[in-house]
Amino acid sequence: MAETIQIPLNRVEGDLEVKVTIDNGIVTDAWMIGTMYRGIEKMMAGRAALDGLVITPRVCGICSTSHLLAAARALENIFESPVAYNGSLVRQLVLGAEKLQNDVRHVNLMFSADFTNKRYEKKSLYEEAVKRYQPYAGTSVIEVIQASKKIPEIIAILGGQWPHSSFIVPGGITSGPSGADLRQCKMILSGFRRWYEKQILGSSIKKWLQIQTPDQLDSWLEEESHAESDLGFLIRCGREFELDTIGTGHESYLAVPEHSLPGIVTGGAVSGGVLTDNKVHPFSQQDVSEQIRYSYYLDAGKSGHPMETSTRPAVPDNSKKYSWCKAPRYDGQAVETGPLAELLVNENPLFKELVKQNGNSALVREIARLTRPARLLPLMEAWFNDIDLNAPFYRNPGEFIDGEGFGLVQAPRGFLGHWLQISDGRIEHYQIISPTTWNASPRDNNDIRGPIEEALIGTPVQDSKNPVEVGHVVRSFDLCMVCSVHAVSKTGSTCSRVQFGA
Amino acid sequence: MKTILCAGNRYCAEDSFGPMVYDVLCKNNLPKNIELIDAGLAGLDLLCHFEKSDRVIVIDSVSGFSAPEELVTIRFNELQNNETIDYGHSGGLQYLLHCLPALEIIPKVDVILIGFEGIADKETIAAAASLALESVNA
Repeated sequence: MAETIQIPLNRVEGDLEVKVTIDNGIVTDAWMIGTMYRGIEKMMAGRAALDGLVITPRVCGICSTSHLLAAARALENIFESPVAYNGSLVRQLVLGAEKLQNDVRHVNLMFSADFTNKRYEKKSLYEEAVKRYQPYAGTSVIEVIQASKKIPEIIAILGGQWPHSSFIVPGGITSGPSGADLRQCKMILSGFRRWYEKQILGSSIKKWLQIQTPDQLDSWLEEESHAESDLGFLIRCGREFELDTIGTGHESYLAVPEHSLPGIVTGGAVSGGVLTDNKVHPFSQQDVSEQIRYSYYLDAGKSGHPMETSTRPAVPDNSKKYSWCKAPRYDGQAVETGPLAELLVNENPLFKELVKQNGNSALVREIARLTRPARLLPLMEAWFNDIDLNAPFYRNPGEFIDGEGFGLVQAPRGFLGHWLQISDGRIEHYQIISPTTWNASPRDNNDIRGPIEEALIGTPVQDSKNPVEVGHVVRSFDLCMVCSVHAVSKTGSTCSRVQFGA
Repeated sequence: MKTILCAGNRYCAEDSFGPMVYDVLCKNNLPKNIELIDAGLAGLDLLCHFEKSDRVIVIDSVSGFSAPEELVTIRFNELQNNETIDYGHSGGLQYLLHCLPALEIIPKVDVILIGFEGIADKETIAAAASLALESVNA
């Protein structure tokens, strides 16, 4: 008999409810419900042209650098201003730092906590999973907290503040790091790399990056240091708990070009593109649209390209609308974005084969995320070495002119876009589509489910009172619904919550 | 080093207790061995303040520790009775407090929480600021 349950989900950033219909132990329908209104776009209208550099990093306390970079790029797109090469290097370094911290924290603190669920107590790896991932005390949890705490210092040293920095501006950055600053940052990065290779990979980055096929991955896992590493355990545990068989959805992916700079080896860079029907197509921002048939916005605010759409909140009676998230689509299609999408549009041979074998499962998404630092760290080291202290970090962008522009960033959770129109020196229009809006979107104008909704279909749920399997699938997208307030509560629940972004 | 760490969101009345106390304490000429921090909504990234202190006074909105609108002082061991908590990407202050024993911050550091449930008036804010100064120097 079918039953429909609504699950408020924690361990994602912000407020989210997931509604699923379960029939004979299988999810047969799903709805992703963003429960809070963001409203940043409305706040931007009428403000000075550069205000996005200060306000939009406040959309999120975790990925504030990504929003700052998108806001700066949107302005540069209008001003047609080139960026000082040193400025580009520093921008990539701070974006990379934000990803390093996010990736290891998400996997060990947010995602893997579900491995300690009683649902798995009879599994052979359960006891070890509890030892590693028990909230607040697990060995892998404490390791990650200790190792990731210094990473934001790189952003603070290079940008003067973290989070919510505003040092990225059209033409470059406002700070001028000294040689001592760079040495300090490089020490933090090399310390993190040593820890990452020992704790997460159990091998050198070079050795991990040599793996090209699933068979080579299995051989790699046979070595004890690899099997016992956090990555090795994630794979072994994920397979035993059957996370490699759930979470497959729309097989369409989106990533925008990032981390590619002239003069530097670009092995870990994201080439960007759209993967649909097993073919990678070039990305064009013109093909991005927002749809609102099932979102709490006025239908008069028409669907279309983000430069044409508006944000006019409304909760009409008796409507089918159910989420504050809009439904972004690329060329009319629902697409997944994030670390797995980066690898697939890059046609990475290992991940291409893993997805071919078992689909875009919850487990493969997490493997893609936990191994992203292996692709980023060598690039970040090269970027540091390429900074020329005798060259400028900023180029004057010239006169601020009116116009329309966009800023695109491959952020920690995927594709982030800011669209901006300036008239008479003021912001006339601002639209933001964040990575989670793509992944957690509701149904679109054609009733097509969003990527997570689709990924939930077919998920087996052993006990509807403890639907941990639903949590695996949803959390594998590393949602960042909003920035929210948490106050200390005796019962452990969240109280006094305020939302700023979605 | 001793630290007074004021947490919360000044734009949300029910969570603004910490920032309001911070504003009052800012006007005091604090001794050099006391660091006053506006912690905002940070979570795990506040760890460095616990690592470099021998006493940390946390000032934050609370729920369920006392009658509403009553200033309350909570010792660290009283915080440890909680069940699993909700948390987001940054962990949140509450997550960090739970991790302190495993991080070996506790028992090395004396951690005291001064809390208030509800929207505090000027007198309560002033009383909390005085209590924070007494507690940090005790």
